Amino acid sequence: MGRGRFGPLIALVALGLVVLVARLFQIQVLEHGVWAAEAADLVRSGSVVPFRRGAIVDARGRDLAYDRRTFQVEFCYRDFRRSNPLGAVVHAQSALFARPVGYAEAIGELVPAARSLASLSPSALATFAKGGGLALGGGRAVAPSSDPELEQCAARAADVRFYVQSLLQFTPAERRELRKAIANEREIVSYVDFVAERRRQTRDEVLGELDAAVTGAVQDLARLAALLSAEGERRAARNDPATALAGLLGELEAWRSRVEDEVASELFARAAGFGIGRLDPRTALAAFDLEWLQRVLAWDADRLAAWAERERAEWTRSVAEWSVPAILAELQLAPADERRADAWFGELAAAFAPAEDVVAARKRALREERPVAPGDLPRALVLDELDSLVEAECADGFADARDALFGFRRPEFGAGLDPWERVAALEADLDGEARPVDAALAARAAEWRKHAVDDWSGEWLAPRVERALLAGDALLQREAARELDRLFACAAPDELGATRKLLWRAPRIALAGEQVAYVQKDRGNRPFVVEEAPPYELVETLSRYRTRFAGFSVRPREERVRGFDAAGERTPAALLLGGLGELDMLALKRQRRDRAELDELLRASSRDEQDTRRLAELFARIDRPGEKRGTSGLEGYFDPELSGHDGYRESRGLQELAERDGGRRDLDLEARDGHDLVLTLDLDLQRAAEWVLEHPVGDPDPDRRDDAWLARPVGAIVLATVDGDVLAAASVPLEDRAERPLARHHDLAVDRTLRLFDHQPPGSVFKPFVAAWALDHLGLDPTRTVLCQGVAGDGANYKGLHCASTYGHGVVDLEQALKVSCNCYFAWLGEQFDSAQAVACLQTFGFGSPTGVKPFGARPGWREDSWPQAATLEFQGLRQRLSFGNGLAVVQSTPLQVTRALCGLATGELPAMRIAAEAGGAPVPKSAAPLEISPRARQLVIRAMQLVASDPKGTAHAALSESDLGFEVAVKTGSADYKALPKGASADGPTKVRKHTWIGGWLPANDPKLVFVVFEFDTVATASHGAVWLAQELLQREELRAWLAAQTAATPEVGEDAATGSPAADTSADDAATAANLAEERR
Amino acid sequence: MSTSPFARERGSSLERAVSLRHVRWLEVDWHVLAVALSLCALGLVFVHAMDEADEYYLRGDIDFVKQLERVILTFPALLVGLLVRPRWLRRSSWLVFVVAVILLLLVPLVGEVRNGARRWIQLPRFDLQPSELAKLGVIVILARALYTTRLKRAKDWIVPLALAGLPMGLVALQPDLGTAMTIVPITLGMLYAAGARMRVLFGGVLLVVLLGAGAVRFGVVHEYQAQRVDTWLDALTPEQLIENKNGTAFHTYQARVAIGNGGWLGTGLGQGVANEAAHLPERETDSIFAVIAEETGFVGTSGLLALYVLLVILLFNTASQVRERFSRLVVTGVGLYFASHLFINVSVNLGLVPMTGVPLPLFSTGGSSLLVTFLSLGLAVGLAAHREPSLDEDAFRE
Repeated sequence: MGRGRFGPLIALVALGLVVLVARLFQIQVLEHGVWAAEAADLVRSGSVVPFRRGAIVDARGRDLAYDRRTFQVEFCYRDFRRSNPLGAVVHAQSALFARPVGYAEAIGELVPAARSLASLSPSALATFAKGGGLALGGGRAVAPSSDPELEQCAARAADVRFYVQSLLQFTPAERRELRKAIANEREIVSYVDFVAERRRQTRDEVLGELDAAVTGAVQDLARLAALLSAEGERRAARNDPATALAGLLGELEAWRSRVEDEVASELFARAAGFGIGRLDPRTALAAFDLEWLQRVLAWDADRLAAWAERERAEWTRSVAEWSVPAILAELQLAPADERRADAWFGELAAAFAPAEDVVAARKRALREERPVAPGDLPRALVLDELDSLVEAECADGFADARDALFGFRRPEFGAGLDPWERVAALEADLDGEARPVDAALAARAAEWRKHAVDDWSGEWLAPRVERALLAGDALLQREAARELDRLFACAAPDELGATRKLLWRAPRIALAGEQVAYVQKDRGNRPFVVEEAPPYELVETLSRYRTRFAGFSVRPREERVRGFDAAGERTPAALLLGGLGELDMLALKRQRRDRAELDELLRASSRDEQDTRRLAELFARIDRPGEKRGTSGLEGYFDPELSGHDGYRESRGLQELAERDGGRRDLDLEARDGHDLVLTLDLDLQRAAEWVLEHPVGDPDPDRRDDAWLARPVGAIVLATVDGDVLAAASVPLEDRAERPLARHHDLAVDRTLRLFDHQPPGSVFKPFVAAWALDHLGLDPTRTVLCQGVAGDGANYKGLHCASTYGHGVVDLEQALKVSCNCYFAWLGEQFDSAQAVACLQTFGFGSPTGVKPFGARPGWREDSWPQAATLEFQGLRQRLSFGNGLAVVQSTPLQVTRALCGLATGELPAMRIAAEAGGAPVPKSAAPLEISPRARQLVIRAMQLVASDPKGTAHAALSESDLGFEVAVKTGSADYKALPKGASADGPTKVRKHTWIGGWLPANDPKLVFVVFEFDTVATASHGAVWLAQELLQREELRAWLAAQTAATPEVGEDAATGSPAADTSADDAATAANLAEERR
Repeated sequence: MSTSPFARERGSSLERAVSLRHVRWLEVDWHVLAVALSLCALGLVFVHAMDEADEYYLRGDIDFVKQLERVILTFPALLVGLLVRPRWLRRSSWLVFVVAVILLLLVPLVGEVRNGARRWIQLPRFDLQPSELAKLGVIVILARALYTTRLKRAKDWIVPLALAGLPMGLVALQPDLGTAMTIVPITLGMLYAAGARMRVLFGGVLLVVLLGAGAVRFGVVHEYQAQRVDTWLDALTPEQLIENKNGTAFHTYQARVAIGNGGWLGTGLGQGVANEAAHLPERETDSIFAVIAEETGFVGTSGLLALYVLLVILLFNTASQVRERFSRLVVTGVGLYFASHLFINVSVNLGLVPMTGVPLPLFSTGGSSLLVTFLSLGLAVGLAAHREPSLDEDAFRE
């Protein structure tokens, strides 16, 4: 052996050094960016700063809906068990006795238990860690362990050490001192003695402090329980204060179970490669030896079974609630052709593939801009894990099982069929049916194609997707059970555990084992929401005495609040305002490309200015999961204006560090709050209108009113200024009277001012518009008369169209016909119209067109029915002409359309209706178009409308005369047949014609300021016996009079208006002249 | 009166084993000791930083005081090793080996299980890991077996290979394949130092590699061992590793993140993600290199690796100065002990080989490792500095 032998050895070592340094260079220098990003991700605390949604206010700035900074009480179980004396005692005892000691069980003997824990010595615990027995106070003891490793004595002892130190509130210095003392083999009688010596107190003093801390903790919890019970659901459950603490202890137990369940599920999934919920608990628990999991969590068999059952139930529930919507969203995102059929195969494969494979496949598919394909997911969930999961081995593999479950992925499946036929074939296979052939298969495929491509129908697809998932699951359960049986048959005795179940392979258990601490910490740190609307006292208590309520915390949050909803008062305009909701699955999935980019940027270890700008852009574009967006009503329509965008704050350092020391703020993207929406609504008038609709009155004559409708009113009221600003838009019912979604719309709380439900003709309220148009465009002579006469046995009618008066109105001219609402006259007048003229008449007054309340055009969220068929109206015979003249059958209208038409008639200008005065920080402009009706025609009609209320023969006189109201109104009533009930269907008589009744007009009659429309949906009383009384109730309201008084006071003098030369002033002057001429003409 | 160096020694049996007066103090290789103790001190600095970090984050995983205590407790082993007389060691090598093997055999009977493996025997002050002692046993017995042979004939290989294979097999059965694997380069290196031809050794290495690959391929190894290989193969690129970070590659991923996060200059003592998040398993023992790499960066870590390699080279250099064959082989074995641990540990952390648990001597916490490290260091410098009469053939070769 010469020295020369060392040369090669040294050279080899030097070469090794070069290799190591090169590799080090690759990782530390070349790949530094990647790993630094990962490292940053591990310790980065980022939080989204939510924007504040804009408020919705009425015309006078009063809140109707707004975001309020409020609080919620959260509970973090890890903090509680580590820092609360009760939690520490319970968990120390659980560790000592190797079983879950309950809170209810522990609380009775809390002080002695705490004392006995404090009196333990480090050496006694060290003995316990090695399997020795442990004497506790009060004659209690823990027996020595026969198998310290199996019973995890060392880990349990470490837990007890921690909790004892927590109970005695060891400072870091004291912990250090104790460690040194133990290392130096100093005699330590007990933990309490050690603390007493170090703090220069007597043992009794320290124990006294411990007693006080423990009893104080219980008292604090009792106080907290009482505060939690003061509001919300708990109040009913715990109206007896004595049971409040017991209730809270029960909740603590439930939270503890929840955390344990989650830890167990995650450890199981990490070790097994699939979630416990994917297997039938009977199969899983009968097959697998899960003693390792029981040991980690100190669970008995019953607890294990309860966990498995809960997880399975959770999975089953998630199929309908999560999996089906997710798959439907994926299908919708796939191109609308046969690729959707392929996507369905891919999604089905994903539902039965390991989660990590699915994540990878989705990433890949997203990169390649295609749906996930079955080929991306070669491994089968559960089945592909079993052979490597358990110790037992069988000679043959699991291919059969996998093929049985995923046969549809084989190329030969459905060979020769088109993609949708393959889908139909798969459906039949999964349903266990014989596969249809030829025409039957083609028909089924056509149905799939129709609902998935041509005319998307989630309702049709959802049950099929769910059925396929459940059928696939049934197959999976069957195959898994079969394979586990085979493994049992192959298992050698040492491959079965003590309970004769299949042992898992040690590395799988070790894999879970090395992550126990991490998972426990992670799951224990996830907060539970305890109280979403905590009372002030609770918030104050938890904020001020944080250390006394370890685990409980108050976290600020934004809450959408409806204005004036205090003291049980209902939110005004709730139906109009609409609601908020979270984004649906499809919307979220649509954003996934942006989200992937955002995640990438958030994970980056360093970012330049461009990255930061891009981050801000993405935050502005992407919705936060769980973010509330307007989904209906004004909240929905004006969502882009009301919404802002989130900000983002990021700090380096662990979250616990950031909370303790403030962290280091690295990125601060400001949130941008949404704009306020200023409505034209007047809160007082809105409230008045709603009140009237909710408390309707009818004709004083009980024989003439509809008591059934009055008891369950359905209808709407619109109030507007003459220039088109909506002041109130109220609808009833205000709350659902039946369960959605099967309820009739009659029973649903929906806005009716903009909607056309079923068949909704305006009836005689339409007559003034027909009359005005005919005067101008058909050359109608207002003095032309029509005979309205009863015909024996058939009542008064004109060519079959009946009049409300049985015996007829006699000879009537236009004014009289409007006053008494003579159907015969207007049937005759309708007869004079051809289709084009009818369309022109409708268009003149805006019927069939949107009213203009939607300033930004078509947007989802707020629905206005406009009846666009008006533009193509074609009379199909005489009857339809006669009906048109009376606003029946062929005409439809929303209350707001009638309102706009009345505004036009009252002022000579047809306005675009406004409900928003300011949106997105800018005013919504007003607009109006000149009404193509001459002042003369308008005045003739207006005069007649005044008579409707003022003349004793007028249809509204009984309720709306000047003597009733104190001012004169111009109105028109209307009743439109809705449907005739079949015989015997109504208690009111053999056959009853049900109708919609209306009254619309303005006030004061000669100086219009306020236009109103009252609409009763589906009633048997005519307008004169129903709607007019409701209108009387409305017009007599104090709020309305106050508004009117304010308007009158604010109206400029005539001279001022004339001086401005505004069109309104010109119109008024024209109107005055025309009125004088007409008076002369009549004379 | 001078006595012949070949005269039969007198004195107590203790004096025959260890002796102060036989050490040529001026010839002790203080460079080796200085480098080794520097590395040990550096290790303590890192452990202290970890302890401080744990204190800060309210954890209690790492205990610097305990490690310091272990160092103080085991350091005398270095002195003992320094005083051991070569002749006694050579004569007692079978005893050393038998004790090591008996301890290995005791492990299944009285050993303690941690992390799924039974490797430790509990002693009053620290837990003994017999597999660590076995490495020293292998070095000594191989030196003894190779003392009289130059491996010229095939039968000369049988005894050394059997002696190395026995403890290796027992350790592998614990199961502790990592530790067993460290014995392979020690054995090969000592065989080479003893005169084995390079091409024969290369052939042997190739055979071992092929056998290993075949064992993995055909499922002869434990499933978890095959899985580690699979994990390693599946995580060769950063993307693959990140994709699998929550699965079987959890440990590898955490180590890689820590190392990669170090960059050029490192994050600073106690400041790395490994200490902050503490997700890196075994960060004070088998993964301590990842912590060091993160906190000192490429520059610091390269320097540290160079220092470590310097220690190995110094040991080889010391061995090359020893005239007595047995002592030379022991010193060589000690150099190989450090080299094999360094390369296996660092390669594992850098992802050059599949994950396995091997400590980094002088840095990793753990009493057994420290004890064997100090003892072997003491033996290496002590044997080299002893004036012992020897009639072995190497003594007259040069």
